[in-house]
Amino acid sequence: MANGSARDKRGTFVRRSERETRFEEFVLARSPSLLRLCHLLTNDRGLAEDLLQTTLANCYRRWDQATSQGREEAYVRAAIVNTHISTVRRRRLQEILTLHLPETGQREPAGAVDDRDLLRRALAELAPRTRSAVVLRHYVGLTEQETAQTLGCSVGNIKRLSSRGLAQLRAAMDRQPPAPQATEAPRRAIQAAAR
Amino acid sequence: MNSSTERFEARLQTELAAIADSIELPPPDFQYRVRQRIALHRRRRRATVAAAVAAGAAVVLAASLGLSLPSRDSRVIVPAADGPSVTGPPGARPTATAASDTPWWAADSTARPTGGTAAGTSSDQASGPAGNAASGTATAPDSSAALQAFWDSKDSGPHDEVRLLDQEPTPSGFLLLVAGREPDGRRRILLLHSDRNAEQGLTDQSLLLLADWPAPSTPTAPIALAVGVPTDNVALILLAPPCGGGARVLSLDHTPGIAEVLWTQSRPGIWRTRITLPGDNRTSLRCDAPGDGVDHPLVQQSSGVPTAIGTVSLLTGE
Repeated sequence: MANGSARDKRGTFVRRSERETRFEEFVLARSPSLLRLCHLLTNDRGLAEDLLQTTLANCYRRWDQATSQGREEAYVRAAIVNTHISTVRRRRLQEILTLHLPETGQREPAGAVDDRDLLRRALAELAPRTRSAVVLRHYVGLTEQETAQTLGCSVGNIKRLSSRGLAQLRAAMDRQPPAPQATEAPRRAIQAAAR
Repeated sequence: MNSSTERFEARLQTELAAIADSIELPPPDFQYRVRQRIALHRRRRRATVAAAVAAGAAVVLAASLGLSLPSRDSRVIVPAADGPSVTGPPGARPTATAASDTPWWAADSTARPTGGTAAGTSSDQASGPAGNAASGTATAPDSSAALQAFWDSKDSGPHDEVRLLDQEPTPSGFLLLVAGREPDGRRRILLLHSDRNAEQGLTDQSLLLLADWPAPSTPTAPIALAVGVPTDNVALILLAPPCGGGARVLSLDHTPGIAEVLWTQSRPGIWRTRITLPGDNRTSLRCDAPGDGVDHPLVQQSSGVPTAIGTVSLLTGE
């Protein structure tokens, strides 16, 4: 790292090497939870790692600004959300192409794993800002005010985004998969043809 | 908020937490990858800054060059057919307009005799039909641009006052004698070979540089090419300025008027003769016109250049 000095959040000058140490400590401590956030936003392990690395690399340049506010994690979280939204906008075509995941067969009764898979797919169908609002509100546990601050919009906008997101998720998760008797139709058609 | 919404929100939070818990932890080398990504960002940023600085410097340099140098079109180009030189913008090269420093072959020829044929002491006014020896300048295409392009590509910087002085047919093409001025103001004379002459249209791809000599420092000095021929003789191709109605006296070993010399106009402002001397004699040229009369000894500038017609040396007057 380059030599030099920067201001601490208490206004004292710290060496760059010390700044680097603090950044690495933050990465070491917070990367698991931040990676989970990235994963919920991107719905893909590789994309999540890439998003987190890119965001952390960008945040390192302005780490003095982040630490001066004393809210490093909130700063990085906002950067993650904004980087994700801009990335999705740049790759809108790819995102649309992968929105509709293939059906994986009939639903098993009381299958918790299938519920999660359904939720994952429903999340993937949400718009980036809506998905971010839902994840920040219902996974990270931010208030509407904090979510609005993170996304850089009004509280009313967050309410609308959350409401819309919840409605879409609820509709997707309550949607019943094809009933088992539906598979009988071709068999009945074959039997009718045989008669 | 009704109870079903609350139930769904609770279920959503549970499911999201379950999904998050199922996500694997970052790999052990995650910190190292972040460090690599930071280094990559830094390299990209530096490359971008360097490219921007280079582009800016190039723009500034181009702008400054464009302001300080005359454009190529406005530079001095002397068409072979038209003869008179077109000077560049005033102030671009103060020495270019100084008539006393301008050699005769680069200056505007105001005296345009219609031809030249006289023996020994011929006068310009008594000359015969123009262009009958080697040039045919009346219908010649402009070869200066091709010569200038060739010279610019061979040497650094743009050249001014590029002019084809003479061309001599050889078994394999033509020898071309070209004069011009380099960017630092020095005047040079080039000996080129080409498979076509100026009348056929020169291209810079057809040209081959044989020799590069300094031009005579005396503005009124003649120029000669001494070509060694197989019979131990020397063919002297002598280029001289207009003599203002006086007689050109060619001396050999300090003996004036050594031979019957036929002068023809090679190019506007340039007179040409070709004589064969018995050996490596000391030659000089004098113009017996009022106000002139200076005897210019012809001095060999360098060792000869082997060509298809023999060894060619440049003689310049002092």
